[in-house]
Amino acid sequence: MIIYNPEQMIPERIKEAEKILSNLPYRYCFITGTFLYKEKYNDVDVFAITRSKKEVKIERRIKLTTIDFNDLHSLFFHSISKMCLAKELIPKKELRVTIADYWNIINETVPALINEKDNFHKTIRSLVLYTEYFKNKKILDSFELRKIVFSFKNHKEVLDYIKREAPLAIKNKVKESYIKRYFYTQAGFHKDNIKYAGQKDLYEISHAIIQAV
Amino acid sequence: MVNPDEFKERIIDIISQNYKIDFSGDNFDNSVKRISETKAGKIYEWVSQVIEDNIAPIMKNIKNKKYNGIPLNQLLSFRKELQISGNDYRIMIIKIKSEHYIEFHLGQHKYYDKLRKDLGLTKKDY
Repeated sequence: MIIYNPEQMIPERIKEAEKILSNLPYRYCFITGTFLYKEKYNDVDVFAITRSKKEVKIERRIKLTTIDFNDLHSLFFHSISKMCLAKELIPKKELRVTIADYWNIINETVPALINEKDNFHKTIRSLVLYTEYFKNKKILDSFELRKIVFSFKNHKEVLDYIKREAPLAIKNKVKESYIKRYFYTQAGFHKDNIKYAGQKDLYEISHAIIQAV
Repeated sequence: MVNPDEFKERIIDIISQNYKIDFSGDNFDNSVKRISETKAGKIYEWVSQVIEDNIAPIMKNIKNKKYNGIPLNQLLSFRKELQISGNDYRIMIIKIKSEHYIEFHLGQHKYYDKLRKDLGLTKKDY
Protein backbone atom coordinates (compact mmCIF):
# COMPACT_ATOMS: atom_id res chain seq x y z
CA MET A 1 0.00 0.00 0.00
CA ILE A 2 1.11 3.56 -0.69
CA ILE A 3 0.04 6.47 1.52
CA TYR A 4 0.02 9.91 -0.03
CA ASN A 5 0.16 12.86 2.43
CA PRO A 6 -0.90 11.03 5.61
CA GLU A 7 -0.67 14.03 8.01
CA GLN A 8 -4.43 14.42 8.59
CA MET A 9 -5.34 10.73 8.44
CA ILE A 10 -6.70 8.74 11.39
CA PRO A 11 -4.32 5.74 11.92
CA GLU A 12 -7.15 3.21 12.51
CA ARG A 13 -8.78 4.26 9.25
CA ILE A 14 -5.57 3.62 7.35
CA LYS A 15 -5.69 -0.01 8.50
CA GLU A 16 -9.38 -0.29 7.61
CA ALA A 17 -8.73 1.30 4.21
CA GLU A 18 -5.97 -1.23 3.49
CA LYS A 19 -8.43 -4.06 4.16
CA ILE A 20 -11.05 -2.56 1.85
CA LEU A 21 -8.58 -2.05 -0.99
CA SER A 22 -7.08 -5.52 -0.70
CA ASN A 23 -10.55 -7.01 -1.31
CA LEU A 24 -11.09 -5.08 -4.53
CA PRO A 25 -10.19 -6.67 -7.89
CA TYR A 26 -8.45 -3.57 -9.26
CA ARG A 27 -4.73 -2.96 -9.65
CA TYR A 28 -5.02 0.83 -9.43
CA CYS A 29 -7.47 1.83 -6.72
CA PHE A 30 -7.38 4.26 -3.84
CA ILE A 31 -9.41 5.66 -0.96
CA THR A 32 -9.72 9.37 -0.32
CA GLY A 33 -12.14 11.75 1.40
CA THR A 34 -13.61 12.14 4.87
CA PHE A 35 -13.31 8.44 5.74
CA LEU A 36 -9.56 8.97 6.11
CA TYR A 37 -9.61 12.05 8.34
CA LYS A 38 -13.06 12.57 9.92
CA GLU A 39 -14.58 10.63 12.83
CA LYS A 40 -18.03 10.87 11.22
CA TYR A 41 -18.28 10.05 7.55
CA ASN A 42 -21.10 9.20 5.13
CA ASP A 43 -19.40 6.99 2.54
CA VAL A 44 -16.02 5.47 1.89
CA ASP A 45 -14.92 7.08 -1.37
CA VAL A 46 -13.08 4.49 -3.43
CA PHE A 47 -11.73 5.25 -6.90
CA ALA A 48 -10.54 2.65 -9.37
CA ILE A 49 -8.62 3.49 -12.52
CA THR A 50 -9.76 0.88 -14.97
CA ARG A 51 -11.08 0.17 -18.45
CA SER A 52 -13.25 -2.64 -17.15
CA LYS A 53 -17.04 -2.09 -17.19
CA LYS A 54 -17.67 -5.13 -15.01
CA GLU A 55 -19.96 -4.57 -11.99
CA VAL A 56 -18.23 -5.41 -8.71
CA LYS A 57 -20.04 -6.43 -5.52
CA ILE A 58 -19.10 -4.06 -2.71
CA GLU A 59 -20.16 -3.17 0.83
CA ARG A 60 -23.05 -0.70 1.09
CA ARG A 61 -20.95 2.03 2.75
CA ILE A 62 -18.45 2.06 -0.16
CA LYS A 63 -18.99 4.51 -2.98
CA LEU A 64 -16.99 3.14 -5.88
CA THR A 65 -16.21 5.40 -8.83
CA THR A 66 -14.30 4.20 -11.86
CA ILE A 67 -11.95 6.56 -13.65
CA ASP A 68 -10.85 6.17 -17.23
CA PHE A 69 -7.14 6.45 -18.02
CA ASN A 70 -8.03 9.46 -20.23
CA ASP A 71 -9.22 11.39 -17.14
CA LEU A 72 -5.87 11.26 -15.35
CA HIS A 73 -4.89 14.71 -16.58
CA SER A 74 -7.89 16.41 -14.95
CA LEU A 75 -7.75 18.74 -11.97
CA PHE A 76 -10.29 16.53 -10.17
CA PHE A 77 -8.06 13.51 -10.45
CA HIS A 78 -4.97 15.42 -9.33
CA SER A 79 -6.95 16.67 -6.32
CA ILE A 80 -8.54 13.39 -5.19
CA SER A 81 -5.28 11.49 -5.56
CA LYS A 82 -3.22 14.02 -3.61
CA MET A 83 -4.15 12.76 -0.15
CA CYS A 84 -5.12 9.10 -0.33
CA LEU A 85 -4.27 5.51 0.38
CA ALA A 86 -3.58 3.48 -2.74
CA LYS A 87 -3.09 -0.18 -3.48
CA GLU A 88 -0.21 0.58 -5.83
CA LEU A 89 1.66 3.63 -7.03
CA ILE A 90 -1.02 5.72 -8.77
CA PRO A 91 -0.32 6.39 -12.47
CA LYS A 92 -0.09 10.14 -13.05
CA LYS A 93 -0.44 12.26 -16.14
CA GLU A 94 0.50 15.88 -16.58
CA LEU A 95 -2.22 18.29 -15.43
CA ARG A 96 -4.21 19.84 -18.28
CA VAL A 97 -6.53 22.67 -17.34
CA THR A 98 -7.72 25.72 -19.28
CA ILE A 99 -9.51 29.02 -18.65
CA ALA A 100 -12.41 27.67 -20.74
CA ASP A 101 -12.68 24.65 -18.36
CA TYR A 102 -12.81 27.06 -15.43
CA TRP A 103 -15.49 29.19 -17.09
CA ASN A 104 -17.56 26.07 -17.84
CA ILE A 105 -17.45 25.22 -14.13
CA ILE A 106 -18.58 28.75 -13.18
CA ASN A 107 -21.26 28.67 -15.88
CA GLU A 108 -22.80 25.50 -14.46
CA THR A 109 -22.21 26.17 -10.77
CA VAL A 110 -24.02 29.53 -10.64
CA PRO A 111 -27.43 28.07 -11.68
CA ALA A 112 -26.90 25.08 -9.34
CA LEU A 113 -26.05 27.44 -6.50
CA ILE A 114 -29.22 29.47 -7.05
CA ASN A 115 -31.32 26.30 -7.23
CA GLU A 116 -29.74 24.64 -4.20
CA LYS A 117 -29.58 27.56 -1.81
CA ASP A 118 -30.04 25.38 1.28
CA ASN A 119 -27.80 22.55 0.20
CA PHE A 120 -25.08 24.29 -1.75
CA HIS A 121 -21.85 22.85 -0.29
CA LYS A 122 -21.83 19.80 -2.56
CA THR A 123 -22.29 21.91 -5.68
CA ILE A 124 -19.31 24.21 -5.13
CA ARG A 125 -16.43 21.75 -4.76
CA SER A 126 -15.27 22.06 -8.37
CA LEU A 127 -15.71 25.79 -8.33
CA VAL A 128 -13.46 26.17 -5.27
CA LEU A 129 -10.95 23.68 -6.66
CA TYR A 130 -10.58 25.58 -9.95
CA THR A 131 -10.62 29.04 -8.34
CA GLU A 132 -7.88 28.16 -5.85
CA TYR A 133 -5.86 26.51 -8.60
CA PHE A 134 -5.97 29.54 -10.90
CA LYS A 135 -5.41 31.90 -7.97
CA ASN A 136 -2.40 30.20 -6.39
CA LYS A 137 -1.43 27.34 -8.75
CA LYS A 138 -2.24 25.11 -5.78
CA ILE A 139 -4.05 21.83 -6.15
CA LEU A 140 -6.14 21.33 -3.02
CA ASP A 141 -6.41 17.87 -1.50
CA SER A 142 -9.69 16.52 -0.12
CA PHE A 143 -9.02 17.91 3.39
CA GLU A 144 -8.06 21.41 2.22
CA LEU A 145 -10.94 21.57 -0.23
CA ARG A 146 -13.50 20.58 2.38
CA LYS A 147 -12.19 23.22 4.77
CA ILE A 148 -12.73 26.03 2.23
CA VAL A 149 -16.06 24.65 0.95
CA PHE A 150 -17.54 24.53 4.46
CA SER A 151 -16.25 28.00 5.35
CA PHE A 152 -19.14 29.45 3.28
CA LYS A 153 -22.25 30.07 5.37
CA ASN A 154 -24.72 30.72 2.57
CA HIS A 155 -24.98 30.80 -1.22
CA LYS A 156 -24.58 34.59 -1.33
CA GLU A 157 -21.12 34.31 0.18
CA VAL A 158 -20.22 31.91 -2.63
CA LEU A 159 -21.55 34.27 -5.31
CA ASP A 160 -19.48 37.09 -3.76
CA TYR A 161 -16.45 34.77 -3.72
CA ILE A 162 -16.84 34.04 -7.46
CA LYS A 163 -17.35 37.71 -8.32
CA ARG A 164 -14.31 38.72 -6.26
CA GLU A 165 -11.89 35.88 -7.01
CA ALA A 166 -12.60 34.79 -10.61
CA PRO A 167 -11.40 38.06 -12.21
CA LEU A 168 -8.20 37.99 -10.12
CA ALA A 169 -7.66 34.29 -10.75
CA ILE A 170 -7.96 34.67 -14.53
CA LYS A 171 -6.05 37.95 -14.85
CA ASN A 172 -2.54 37.49 -16.30
CA LYS A 173 -2.99 33.74 -16.81
CA VAL A 174 -3.34 33.94 -20.57
CA LYS A 175 -2.98 36.66 -23.21
CA GLU A 176 -5.09 39.76 -22.54
CA SER A 177 -6.46 39.65 -26.10
CA TYR A 178 -7.65 36.06 -25.60
CA ILE A 179 -9.38 36.90 -22.29
CA LYS A 180 -11.12 39.91 -23.85
CA ARG A 181 -12.25 38.02 -26.95
CA TYR A 182 -13.44 34.97 -25.02
CA PHE A 183 -15.24 36.83 -22.25
CA TYR A 184 -16.82 39.51 -24.48
CA THR A 185 -18.52 36.63 -26.31
CA GLN A 186 -19.61 35.05 -23.01
CA ALA A 187 -20.84 38.37 -21.58
CA GLY A 188 -22.87 39.04 -24.74
CA PHE A 189 -24.49 35.61 -24.57
CA HIS A 190 -25.49 35.98 -20.92
CA LYS A 191 -26.72 39.55 -21.48
CA ASP A 192 -29.04 38.28 -24.23
CA ASN A 193 -30.47 35.72 -21.82
CA ILE A 194 -30.68 37.95 -18.76
CA LYS A 195 -34.37 37.15 -18.18
CA TYR A 196 -33.42 33.64 -17.05
CA ALA A 197 -32.39 33.12 -13.42
CA GLY A 198 -28.62 33.12 -12.89
CA GLN A 199 -27.75 34.68 -16.24
CA LYS A 200 -27.43 38.18 -14.74
CA ASP A 201 -24.82 36.88 -12.28
CA LEU A 202 -22.94 35.19 -15.13
CA TYR A 203 -23.06 38.38 -17.16
CA GLU A 204 -21.67 40.36 -14.20
CA ILE A 205 -18.89 37.85 -13.59
CA SER A 206 -17.81 37.71 -17.25
CA HIS A 207 -17.95 41.51 -17.42
CA ALA A 208 -15.85 41.81 -14.23
CA ILE A 209 -13.25 39.46 -15.76
CA ILE A 210 -12.94 41.74 -18.82
CA GLN A 211 -12.68 44.80 -16.59
CA ALA A 212 -9.87 43.22 -14.54
CA VAL A 213 -7.43 42.72 -17.45
CA MET B 1 -45.20 3.46 -5.65
CA VAL B 2 -45.89 5.47 -8.80
CA ASN B 3 -47.47 4.29 -12.03
CA PRO B 4 -45.19 5.35 -14.94
CA ASP B 5 -48.08 6.32 -17.24
CA GLU B 6 -49.70 8.45 -14.55
CA PHE B 7 -46.30 10.00 -13.79
CA LYS B 8 -45.84 11.02 -17.43
CA GLU B 9 -49.46 12.27 -17.69
CA ARG B 10 -49.00 14.41 -14.61
CA ILE B 11 -45.84 16.01 -16.02
CA ILE B 12 -47.48 16.57 -19.41
CA ASP B 13 -50.38 18.28 -17.55
CA ILE B 14 -48.00 20.53 -15.60
CA ILE B 15 -46.02 21.49 -18.70
CA SER B 16 -49.24 21.99 -20.65
CA GLN B 17 -48.01 22.70 -24.18
CA ASN B 18 -49.05 21.66 -27.68
CA TYR B 19 -45.71 20.03 -28.46
CA LYS B 20 -45.26 16.38 -27.32
CA ILE B 21 -42.45 16.04 -24.80
CA ASP B 22 -40.28 12.88 -24.97
CA PHE B 23 -39.61 10.82 -21.85
CA SER B 24 -36.27 8.98 -21.84
CA GLY B 25 -33.99 7.24 -19.40
CA ASP B 26 -32.26 4.02 -18.52
CA ASN B 27 -35.16 1.75 -17.68
CA PHE B 28 -37.45 4.76 -17.28
CA ASP B 29 -40.65 2.91 -16.31
CA ASN B 30 -38.94 0.64 -13.78
CA SER B 31 -37.16 3.63 -12.21
CA VAL B 32 -40.46 5.50 -11.90
CA LYS B 33 -42.11 2.45 -10.31
CA ARG B 34 -39.57 2.69 -7.48
CA ILE B 35 -40.35 6.36 -6.73
CA SER B 36 -42.49 6.93 -3.62
CA GLU B 37 -45.65 9.07 -3.82
CA THR B 38 -43.98 11.70 -1.59
CA LYS B 39 -40.92 11.90 -3.83
CA ALA B 40 -43.11 12.04 -6.95
CA GLY B 41 -44.94 14.98 -5.36
CA LYS B 42 -41.61 16.76 -4.96
CA ILE B 43 -40.75 16.09 -8.62
CA TYR B 44 -44.11 17.54 -9.76
CA GLU B 45 -43.48 20.57 -7.56
CA TRP B 46 -40.03 21.01 -9.10
CA VAL B 47 -41.43 20.74 -12.65
CA SER B 48 -44.00 23.44 -11.74
CA GLN B 49 -41.13 25.61 -10.53
CA VAL B 50 -39.34 25.07 -13.85
CA ILE B 51 -42.47 26.13 -15.77
CA GLU B 52 -42.85 29.23 -13.58
CA ASP B 53 -39.23 30.25 -14.39
CA ASN B 54 -38.16 29.84 -10.76
CA ILE B 55 -35.37 27.37 -11.55
CA ALA B 56 -32.11 28.62 -13.03
CA PRO B 57 -31.29 26.79 -16.29
CA ILE B 58 -27.84 25.86 -17.56
CA MET B 59 -27.15 27.63 -20.86
CA LYS B 60 -24.06 27.03 -22.95
CA ASN B 61 -22.67 29.46 -25.47
CA ILE B 62 -21.81 26.75 -28.02
CA LYS B 63 -22.99 27.54 -31.56
CA ASN B 64 -21.21 24.96 -33.65
CA LYS B 65 -22.44 21.84 -31.86
CA LYS B 66 -25.97 20.53 -32.08
CA TYR B 67 -28.18 18.33 -29.94
CA ASN B 68 -30.88 16.57 -31.97
CA GLY B 69 -30.38 19.17 -34.70
CA ILE B 70 -30.66 22.17 -32.36
CA PRO B 71 -27.61 24.39 -31.70
CA LEU B 72 -26.55 24.07 -28.05
CA ASN B 73 -26.78 27.84 -27.51
CA GLN B 74 -30.54 27.59 -28.14
CA LEU B 75 -31.13 25.07 -25.34
CA LEU B 76 -31.98 25.41 -21.67
CA SER B 77 -31.23 22.46 -19.38
CA PHE B 78 -32.81 22.07 -15.94
CA ARG B 79 -31.13 19.54 -13.71
CA LYS B 80 -32.31 17.91 -10.50
CA GLU B 81 -30.54 15.34 -8.38
CA LEU B 82 -32.54 12.75 -6.45
CA GLN B 83 -32.23 9.36 -4.82
CA ILE B 84 -34.39 6.40 -5.72
CA SER B 85 -34.06 3.32 -3.49
CA GLY B 86 -30.69 4.60 -2.25
CA ASN B 87 -29.28 5.15 -5.75
CA ASP B 88 -28.29 8.53 -7.23
CA TYR B 89 -30.43 9.67 -10.14
CA ARG B 90 -30.63 12.82 -12.22
CA ILE B 91 -33.64 14.40 -13.88
CA MET B 92 -32.96 16.65 -16.83
CA ILE B 93 -35.60 18.72 -18.60
CA ILE B 94 -34.55 20.25 -21.91
CA LYS B 95 -36.27 23.23 -23.48
CA ILE B 96 -35.70 25.19 -26.68
CA LYS B 97 -35.15 28.85 -25.79
CA SER B 98 -38.39 30.89 -25.92
CA GLU B 99 -40.20 27.82 -27.30
CA HIS B 100 -41.29 24.48 -25.89
CA TYR B 101 -39.98 21.73 -23.63
CA ILE B 102 -38.67 18.83 -25.70
CA GLU B 103 -37.37 16.15 -23.35
CA PHE B 104 -37.65 14.78 -19.82
CA HIS B 105 -34.82 12.45 -18.77
CA LEU B 106 -34.49 10.27 -15.72
CA GLY B 107 -31.38 8.19 -15.30
CA GLN B 108 -28.43 7.09 -13.22
CA HIS B 109 -24.81 8.12 -13.55
CA LYS B 110 -23.89 6.37 -16.78
CA TYR B 111 -27.04 7.51 -18.57
CA TYR B 112 -26.60 11.08 -17.35
CA ASP B 113 -22.93 11.05 -18.34
CA LYS B 114 -23.80 10.36 -21.98
CA LEU B 115 -26.56 13.01 -21.99
CA ARG B 116 -24.23 15.50 -20.31
CA LYS B 117 -21.62 15.03 -23.05
CA ASP B 118 -24.25 15.41 -25.80
CA LEU B 119 -25.36 18.69 -24.23
CA GLY B 120 -21.80 20.00 -23.92
CA LEU B 121 -21.93 20.02 -20.12
CA THR B 122 -18.87 19.65 -17.94
CA LYS B 123 -18.06 16.70 -15.74
CA LYS B 124 -18.04 18.73 -12.55
CA ASP B 125 -17.35 15.99 -10.15
CA TYR B 126 -16.79 12.30 -9.68
